[in-house]
Amino acid sequence: MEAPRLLSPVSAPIDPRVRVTLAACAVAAAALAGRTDPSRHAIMLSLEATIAVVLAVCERLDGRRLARALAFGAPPIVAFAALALTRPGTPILELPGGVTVTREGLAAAAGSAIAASSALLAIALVAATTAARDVERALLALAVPARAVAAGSLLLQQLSLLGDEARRTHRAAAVRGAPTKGPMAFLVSRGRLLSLFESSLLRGVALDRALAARGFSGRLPRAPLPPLAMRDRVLAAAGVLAAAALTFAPTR
Amino acid sequence: MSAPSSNPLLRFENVEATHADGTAALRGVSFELAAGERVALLGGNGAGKSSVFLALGGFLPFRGSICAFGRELTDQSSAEIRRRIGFVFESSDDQLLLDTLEEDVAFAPRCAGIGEAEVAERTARALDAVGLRGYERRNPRRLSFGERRLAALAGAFAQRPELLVLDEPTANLDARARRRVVDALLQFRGALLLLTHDLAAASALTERALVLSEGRLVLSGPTDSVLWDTRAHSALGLETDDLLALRRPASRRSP
Repeated sequence: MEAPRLLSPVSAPIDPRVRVTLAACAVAAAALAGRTDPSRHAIMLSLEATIAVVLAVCERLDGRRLARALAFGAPPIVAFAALALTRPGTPILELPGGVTVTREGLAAAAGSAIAASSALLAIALVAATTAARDVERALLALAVPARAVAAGSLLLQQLSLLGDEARRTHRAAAVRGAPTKGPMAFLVSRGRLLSLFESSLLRGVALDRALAARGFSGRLPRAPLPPLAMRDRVLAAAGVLAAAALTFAPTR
Repeated sequence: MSAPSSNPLLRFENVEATHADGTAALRGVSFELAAGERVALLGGNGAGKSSVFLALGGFLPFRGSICAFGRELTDQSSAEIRRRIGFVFESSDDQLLLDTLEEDVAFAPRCAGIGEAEVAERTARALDAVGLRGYERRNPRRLSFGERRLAALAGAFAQRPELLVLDEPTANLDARARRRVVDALLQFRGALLLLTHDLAAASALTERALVLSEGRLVLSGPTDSVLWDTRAHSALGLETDDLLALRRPASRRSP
């Protein structure tokens, strides 16, 4: 009998509940690790990057989706790290406008950037390898409030529809001679944003009616997930233990 | 407009409603629909068809009385009444809520707490009825326009409603897609309230028609008679092409 392979393109994909659990562990560990010992952040990031590469290969990751997800999260991380630079301490650099970068601020910024990056990597990996409906079912199975899950799911859905509408209006404006690139395009598109906002409100009303007409009671009705396989249980347990070890175990 | 029966499935009595901008949407609309009856509510653009749809769903405040399944429609009773009515909205995109067709069709039965075995059976039958078997794993919002309309219809069928209310179900469809929608609706055995300006579909699907103009019911009678009444023609804004399309005998007419 052939031995089962834990992670391979031919084995069954990892259950979405386990993916979400692992990502939640990674985010929690990233948030807590720096509080006990800042050096853990670097260990965690390198570990997560390794796991990400392995999973990306085994789960046939869509690289474009991962890149998009990471790019989406990068600006807040940079902004957050920049804010941390000016923490009170020993000054090492004077920036224009009277902003002083301190040694302690630099360390805090590095720690924050690493923690946020590792958390983002975990979330982006789940987002890029797991269908939205599976994430939603996993969150419900993990006892996240149904109304919050439904609100998030419907919001994402509406954003996607609004994205389609924005592209349509952009094309319509382009064929009528509106500039499509440069600062003028930005100025022209500001006018379209108002109509997009209006149509998003109308769509929200229509969605509310459709939900009511179809008997919606606060929980999006999804097909139940099958029981967890042994391999997935082992993975989830390993993830929780690893996160706890990374966060709390002594390093010296 | 129609003779009152002792126990109608649906009764509108002197219903009046107003749009948000203050213009009148419905002006004293009264009609009844018996169990199993198939009625077309005809009217041109802006005649008030969608207002009837919204008022019946409890989405548009109204004066007068709407009674369905023996219960007065109020804020308290609207959810329970809606559970017994299959609504098909004019825009299918607003109605398709989940990202696989199978789950979307199963939306209402699952919301009603029906067991998974019956949900699967209802979903399969509904998809069969609209000819979308084999599309279960597809994203309904990525289907063609006509298929999205059928998907919305399947969602209503799976609910097993006693009354199906459809707002312009054949609007903007090509001839083949219209035929598929009409064929699917012919299989439905419950009562039907068809809000449309598609006269051929009304003729193929309903035995009685009401004509709405500027929020008022102006005509009522057997569908094929109403369609040839000149008062209906002016109310519906019919032109020569529309009348030519109706010239063939009913038995040979295809929607």
